[in-house]
Amino acid sequence: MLGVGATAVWGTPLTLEGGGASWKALGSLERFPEGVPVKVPVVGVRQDAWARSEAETLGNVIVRREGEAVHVLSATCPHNGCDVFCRAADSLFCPCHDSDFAPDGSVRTGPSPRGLDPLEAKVEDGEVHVRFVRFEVGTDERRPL
Amino acid sequence: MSARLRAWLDARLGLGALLDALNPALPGGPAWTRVTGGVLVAALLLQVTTGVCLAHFYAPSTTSAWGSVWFVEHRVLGGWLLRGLHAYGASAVIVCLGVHLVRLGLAAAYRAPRELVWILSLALVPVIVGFGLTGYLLPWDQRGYWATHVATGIAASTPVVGETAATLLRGGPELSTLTLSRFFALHTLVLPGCLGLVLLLGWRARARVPAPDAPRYWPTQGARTLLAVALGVAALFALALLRRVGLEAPADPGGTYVPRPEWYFAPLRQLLKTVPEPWGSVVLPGLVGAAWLALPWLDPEPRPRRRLAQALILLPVLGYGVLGALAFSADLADGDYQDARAAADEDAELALRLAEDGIPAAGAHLLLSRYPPRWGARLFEAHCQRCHRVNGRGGEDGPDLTGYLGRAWLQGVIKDPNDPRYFGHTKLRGMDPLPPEHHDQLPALTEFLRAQSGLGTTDAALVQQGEDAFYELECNACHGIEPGEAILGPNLHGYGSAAWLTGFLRDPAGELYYFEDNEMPDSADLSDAELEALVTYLHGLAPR
Repeated sequence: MLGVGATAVWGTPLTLEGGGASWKALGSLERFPEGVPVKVPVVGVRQDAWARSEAETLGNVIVRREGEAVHVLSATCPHNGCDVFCRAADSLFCPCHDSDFAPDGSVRTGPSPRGLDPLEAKVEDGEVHVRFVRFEVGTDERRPL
Repeated sequence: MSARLRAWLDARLGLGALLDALNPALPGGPAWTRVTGGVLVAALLLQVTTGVCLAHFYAPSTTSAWGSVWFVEHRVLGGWLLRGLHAYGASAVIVCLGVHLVRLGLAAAYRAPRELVWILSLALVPVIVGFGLTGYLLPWDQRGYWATHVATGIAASTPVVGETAATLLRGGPELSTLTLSRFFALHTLVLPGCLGLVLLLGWRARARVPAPDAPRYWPTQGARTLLAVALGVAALFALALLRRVGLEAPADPGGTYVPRPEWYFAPLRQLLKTVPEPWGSVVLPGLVGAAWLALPWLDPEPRPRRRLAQALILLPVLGYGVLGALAFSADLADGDYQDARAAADEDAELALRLAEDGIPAAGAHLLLSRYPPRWGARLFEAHCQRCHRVNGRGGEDGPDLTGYLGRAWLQGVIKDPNDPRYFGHTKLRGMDPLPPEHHDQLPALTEFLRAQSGLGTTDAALVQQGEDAFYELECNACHGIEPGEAILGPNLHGYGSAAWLTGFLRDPAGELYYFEDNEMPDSADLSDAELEALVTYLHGLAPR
């Protein structure tokens, strides 16, 4: 009885809801240079157990502008969940285990089981918005959390 | 102790048996190599002692953890030394455990009837690694946050059960305040319980090994062990005194931080990079663990296989060393890593400096994210960059603000206000450029304007000359220079100063500024504090 109770208490986090995906503003289109990937933080409401903060950094995304369109990738490496960074105009690199990705997110070298995860993005009134979602790491298949 | 007291205690506590247990038989007699177990226990005791002291100050939550550790480091008497001993002590435990296991292995101290002593010694490895992993996160600084981010990511990458295991470990889908309370409970309650149990069982198993006529631990072996412990503690003190463990900047899920695990995981990380998965991550380390566990049966007494056992012990140790060396030399040669390291050190230094004025109750991460120059830069990106360019990034509808309020920028405006770099793309194109024959007055006019902003130092004589030129060239026909004087162009009293910029940003189309033709939106959605940060950022654009 006690064991079951303790396990239930300990397992509570499995029942907690994550932040859920919602549209987040990333600022104006003009802040992004043409064709060059840029890493930017995503800011939004953060519910941290009991504490709620209105404008907190939630994570990073990588934005690449092509004319009036934007391509947004999650900056979380699908291998072990490290943050990739823009090493050069044509290389997104994970410093943890050296996975190297092309600007479109596809894997070039390294242990990552899949390419960087694309995120839904749109431009409205010159503002870039992204639907910020997290994905399972370590799997070939792309599964949103 | 008087004989009577001794007898009294013995009757109630079994003192004799207890003292016997602390003075076990030592088959084979005293030896300098046999200090390893005692030194390991001493290192663990040091961790318990320093840990209990630290727990008196530590507050496990995302808003308070960093601050409480900062408090230990900078306000608690000798707190930095205490934390240094605990942090280096953790490494010492790893080293002692490794040396002890190799020593036991090479001495074939796993053979019957000592199998359980060996297996329980090996069981210390996951417990100690657990201490390391949970303890690393507790300061909630960049180093611990990102290392744990990766560690839980590795757990999450395990097939099938990975995400569930990682969620249970983290107390949620990502690192949060629940992770901290969970790790703190594991680090200070659960793992010490496990450690105590393993040590107790190990002690008991060791006492059951028959050792007829063997000499006792004390005094010879005990004295040797105590000497080794004293040397080890001295080395730890020296390390803690000479090289501060320090605290990195508070955890920030944004930004770019290049994580590295604690040194003892570096070889495993290198293995993961060198050998494809799952061989590098699971299979090879798993095989080594299984082989070590199986040593009592691979190399038993009646049919010994010494060579095989020695190879199984020494090859992984050698590989561990080589991989570690490779990992460290790779980091030394990695320019990106060194740059990221330097940036992280700079952040840490800034955070520590800002913390001296008090850490926000809402969380230490606000130290840096609300630091005006950085905060202002982010606000500029979000609110201004759409029209204003800085260092080649941003829109072109408004003036380029690269070097804003610097002498070169001011000269450029006076010389050619309608250049696309200045007001050329705006509706504010009423100002006449300074005629070429008066270009000799440019430095003076610039200095005069620069003096209005109050930024940096100015040449008083040149300012006076500029003021004279301002009237001579009839700039005052359009620009008010007395407070509150509205004519045709912006009032230049205190131009570029914090007060001027704040007034302008609040009411860009006001009659003291650029009048109603100005298309620049006001800053109604920014708070006073945000505006102040933005002004600080704008002031930082001028070259020093």
